[in-house]
Amino acid sequence: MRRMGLEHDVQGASDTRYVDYASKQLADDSKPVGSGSGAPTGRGAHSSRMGHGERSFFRSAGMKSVRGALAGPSAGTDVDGRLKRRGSAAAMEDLSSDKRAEKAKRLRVLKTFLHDAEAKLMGRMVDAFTFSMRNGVPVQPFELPLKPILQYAGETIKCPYSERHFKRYLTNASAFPLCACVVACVVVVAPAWCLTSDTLFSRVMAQFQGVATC
Amino acid sequence: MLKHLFWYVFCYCFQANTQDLQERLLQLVSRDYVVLLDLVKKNKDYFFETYPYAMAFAVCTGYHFFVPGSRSRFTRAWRLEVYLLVCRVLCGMDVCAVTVQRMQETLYPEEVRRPFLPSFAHLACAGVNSLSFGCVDV
Repeated sequence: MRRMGLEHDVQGASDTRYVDYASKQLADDSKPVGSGSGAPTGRGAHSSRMGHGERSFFRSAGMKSVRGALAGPSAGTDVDGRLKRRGSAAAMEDLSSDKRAEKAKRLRVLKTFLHDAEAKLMGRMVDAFTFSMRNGVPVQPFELPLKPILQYAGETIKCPYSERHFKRYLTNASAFPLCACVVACVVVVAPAWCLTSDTLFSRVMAQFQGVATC
Repeated sequence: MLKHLFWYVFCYCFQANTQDLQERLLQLVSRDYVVLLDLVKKNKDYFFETYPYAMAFAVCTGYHFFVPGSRSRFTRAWRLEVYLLVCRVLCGMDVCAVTVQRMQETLYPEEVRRPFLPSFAHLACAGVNSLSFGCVDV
């Protein structure tokens, strides 16, 4: 997915650097041409070193900003707002990637711990020990490291609902009784009333039988 | 609770003539569960739906990594039996084997993808009747 130079691929870190670089270049481009910035501006200066995504980025945003700067001062605020939005978006994506990295690191540490324990206990078999209780207190044949196991279970679980989905589910559930009442009235109560009412019932029967009974 | 459930599964599956021990362990599990339920204040639906499977996964993980010498006995059929047993203890009723298997696949796909374990499709088809359980009073 290409979103104005903020696309994420396997090179997450280089993307972050690229965003900073692109924002700087865009800020330079927003100045009027010949203002003395010293940096090369314009499409020709970048095209030789840029890939397709970068070219499209500068073609769609940078060149517009140059034209906008030449056209008048009102376009400058637009560029600033766009830069702020991009900065906040990049910060959000960095935060989520940081969270992902932290989670992957935690999982890696837990798996390393579990595999190390497994390697040390290769000869342990279920038939080798017996569980018992004394005075209501369990006597464990071996100590089970509960915390890493529970952490591993918590990290591995695939949560099918986000909090947002959960709220929406609750909202729909709260709206359900009203909808159910309306549907029940239309589907069940109305036909039942028609059938039990003498007049309507006789009219319906007359239509079916072709005989006017009323 | 995980500790008591772990040893309850051990007594149930690998230690014969332990009805008394199992009952005592179930009492400890129920005591821990009551304490835990007091702590849960919100998202109770999600908790009740997910927690038994998380505990079953934790028990299976404990056996997988901390009793690796008998790993040949921890087949997928045995894992399913543990899931059914833990769900039965924590939910207070029998849960259909196919339901348990689906939830297991949804919540813990890694558990299903674990290697060198034979298929247990016949168990899923046969349902809960193919698994023999003792009497569990919850």
